[in-house]
Amino acid sequence: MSTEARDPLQHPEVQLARGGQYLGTYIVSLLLTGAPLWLVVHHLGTPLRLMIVVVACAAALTLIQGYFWLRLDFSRTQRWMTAAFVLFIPLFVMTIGLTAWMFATLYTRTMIPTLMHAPAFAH
Amino acid sequence: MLVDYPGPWTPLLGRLDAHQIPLQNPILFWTFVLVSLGAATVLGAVTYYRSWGYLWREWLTSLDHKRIGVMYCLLGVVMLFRGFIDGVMMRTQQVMAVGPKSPGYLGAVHGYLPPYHFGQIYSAHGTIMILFAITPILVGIMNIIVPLQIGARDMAYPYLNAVSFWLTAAATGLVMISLFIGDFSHAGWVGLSPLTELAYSPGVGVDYWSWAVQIGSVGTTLASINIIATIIKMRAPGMSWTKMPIFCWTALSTSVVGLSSFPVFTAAVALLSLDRYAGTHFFTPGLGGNLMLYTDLFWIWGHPEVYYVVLPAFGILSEIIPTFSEKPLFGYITMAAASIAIGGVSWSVWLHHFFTMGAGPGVNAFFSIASMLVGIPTGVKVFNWAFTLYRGRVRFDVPMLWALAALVLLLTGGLTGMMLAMPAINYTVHNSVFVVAHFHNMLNVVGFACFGAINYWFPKVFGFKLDERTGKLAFWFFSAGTVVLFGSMYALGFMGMPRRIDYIPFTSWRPLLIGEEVGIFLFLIASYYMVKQLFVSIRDRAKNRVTTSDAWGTSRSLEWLAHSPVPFYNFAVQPHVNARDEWAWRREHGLGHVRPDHYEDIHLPNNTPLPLMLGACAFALGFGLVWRMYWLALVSLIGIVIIVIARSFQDDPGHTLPGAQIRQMEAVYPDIPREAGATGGMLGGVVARHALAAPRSRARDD
Ligand code: HEM
Ligand SMILES: [Cu+2]
Repeated sequence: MSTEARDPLQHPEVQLARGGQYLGTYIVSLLLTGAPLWLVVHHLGTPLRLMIVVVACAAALTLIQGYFWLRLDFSRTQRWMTAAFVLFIPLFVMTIGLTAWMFATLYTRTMIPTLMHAPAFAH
Repeated sequence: MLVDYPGPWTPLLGRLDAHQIPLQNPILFWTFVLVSLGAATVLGAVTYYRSWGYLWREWLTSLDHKRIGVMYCLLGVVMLFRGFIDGVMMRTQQVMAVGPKSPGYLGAVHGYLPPYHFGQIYSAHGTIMILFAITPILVGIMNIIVPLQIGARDMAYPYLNAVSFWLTAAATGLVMISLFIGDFSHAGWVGLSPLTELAYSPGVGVDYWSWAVQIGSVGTTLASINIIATIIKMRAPGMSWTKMPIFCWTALSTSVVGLSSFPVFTAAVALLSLDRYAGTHFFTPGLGGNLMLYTDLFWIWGHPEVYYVVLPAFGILSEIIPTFSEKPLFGYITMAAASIAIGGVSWSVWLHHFFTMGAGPGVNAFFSIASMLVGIPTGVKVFNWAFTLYRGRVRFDVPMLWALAALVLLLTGGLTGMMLAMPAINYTVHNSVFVVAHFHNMLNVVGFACFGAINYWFPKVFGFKLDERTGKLAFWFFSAGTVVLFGSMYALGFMGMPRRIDYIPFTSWRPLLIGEEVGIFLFLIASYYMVKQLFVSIRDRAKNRVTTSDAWGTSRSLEWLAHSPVPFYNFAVQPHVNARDEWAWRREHGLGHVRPDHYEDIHLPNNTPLPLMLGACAFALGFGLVWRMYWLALVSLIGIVIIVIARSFQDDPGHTLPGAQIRQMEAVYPDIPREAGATGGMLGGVVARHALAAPRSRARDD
């Protein structure tokens, strides 16, 4: 779709912009990143619990920002974005998954005390 | 402040004071004098010839992809030279500091560089060569060539393109200024953890490194986005995916790799900066930190990065080899598929950089096998190039020499890579100079391809060829240097010499160290001939001028349809693509140069100084953060935000070049006939009509 030489404001992606939703998402994002940070800084909760909270907040943020900011859906303008996002999932799984596998075998072998008691392995 | 670090701090200057300017160090002092003189000469010349206006209008504020590409390449070449000087210094230190009896100068116990200074040199060398020399040169080449090869007027986002460039330039500026104000990181180009933590590196060196690479990698990520969008969206009519030149395929693959991996690096270094500035413990030993996580994150980017640089190099070889074999590339489809496959596999091999860290055998085996899988698509490519050469009419012009030598280097580098990918071998040579020899071998493939590309496309961009004789001399000395230096280094690696050492305890290694020094001396001669080549070519440009669009007479892809030098609007009429090697197809059908019967208006973006200003702010932001002058960092951050907002409110519709004016400008080219061909009023001229009228099969044999 060639949009050159046309009014940029008419661009379909620009047309999707919603000031109110942007602001709302921004505030929610601040809360969802600020709250886990605060919990971690003040050591509120066991490492395992903190990790669950952090992961849950991150997952929620991904969904909220993906929908309200990036506007991932299947409309004609946005399906490229959605496709890019979906393509990124295998990479994400691979990097995080292989890293977890690596550390799982690494911790028991290197026996660095602090790592042995890292949250993922401290029951 | 949040964290404790030694030394004074003032609100105005942060950690900066007069002692940080290393005037007492004679090497740095004389470098400073030289650089100042050089800068004064350049600035003086620009002023004397009253070229500021020209520089500002035509280059600094330009959004033209070719101009930006040339600036990228220029930046890269300058940094290549800086990195090379670092290399000369390291080689010289090592050859001087052999054995306990070796003398010491300039405050060093052995050789002439104390360990701390030596550490900074190898860290700067690696960081510069990979991120600020090779990467800008490749991005620059992609910038110039990709739009031309797909028949586009510019990149998809010309403004973003300029922003990427100026961010890269800002990052480079930070690395360079660390020479004269403060010092640079001594923790290797990889940022060895936990050495990069504040407790072990309390100075500003690591901060210079970390902010430079963060700003630079934002620039490269944006450049990747731009290239992907350009290739997907801007292809000329008729250019289907299977008609796209291989260089564009590799540019696409490499940009996907860049886009998906650079953010990991930015994030990892940002976490490190949080450790250093906010007192977090992401990568500290103890206190919940995990220093091995840094290594993991670094290589999740680091390995894809090496493919980020090698893929465009493969693309360049795929353009040069058919041109000088005078036949089409063998195995187009497999070549394109291999480019994508190499990009794909590159994400799953990163752990081969730390087999010795101690993960379990299953993990090491997985990554070992994954690493070796890369050999399959790479092998496919090598055979395709070989079959292209086979029974070709091979010509040994300078670009071809570089390309052929790159193939040889690819063989040895790839095989030593395979060796390193076996954990059993890796345990014996990890962190030895064998690894250093391996990756210099591979990065030389990239370097050779870049030199080939510069010689190959130079006439397209500047309208005259580079001198053959000096070019060949440069090539032979460079190749000899490569063999002598890295041959010796491989041998030293087998003998167990560790990397990054400033003192060599065993005198039995001296002969090979002398070999390395001889090699670097050959490189020195080669760089003399490169400078001479440029000088001679510019001096004799009238003689070397190319009058046709096809400088080599046998080139194949679409960029050779555009005039040499390419006018700012690239193509007077957007070309209609009929064949995979469009230019070769037109040449063979006598359609090389036809005159369209009418010209349409062309829409172009306006120049803007905002990207340059963004770069300046990014530099100030980095500098402020390095020295913890928080006011400066804040002011420049606000500056960045304001510029971005201002740009989005600026109603800049660009400008339109009327068709009549293009007709006039086109009239000066001798290879365009006076008479318009009979096009039946079809835009795209005779060629489009010819293609539509004649079925492919007939078109081929008439
Ligand atoms: C595509 C071109 C390549 C480039 C540019 C490249 C570059 C590099 C670099 C920069 C390093 C090490 C960096 C460091 O430790 O500071 C390295 C190490 C390594 N490379 Fe390559 N490489 C390439 C191809 C390959 C291939 C094809 C393989 C194997 C299939 C391979 C296997 C390895 C291994 C195993 C190491 C780690 C060695 C060690 O640290 O013990 N490389 N390479
Ligand atoms: Cu690797």
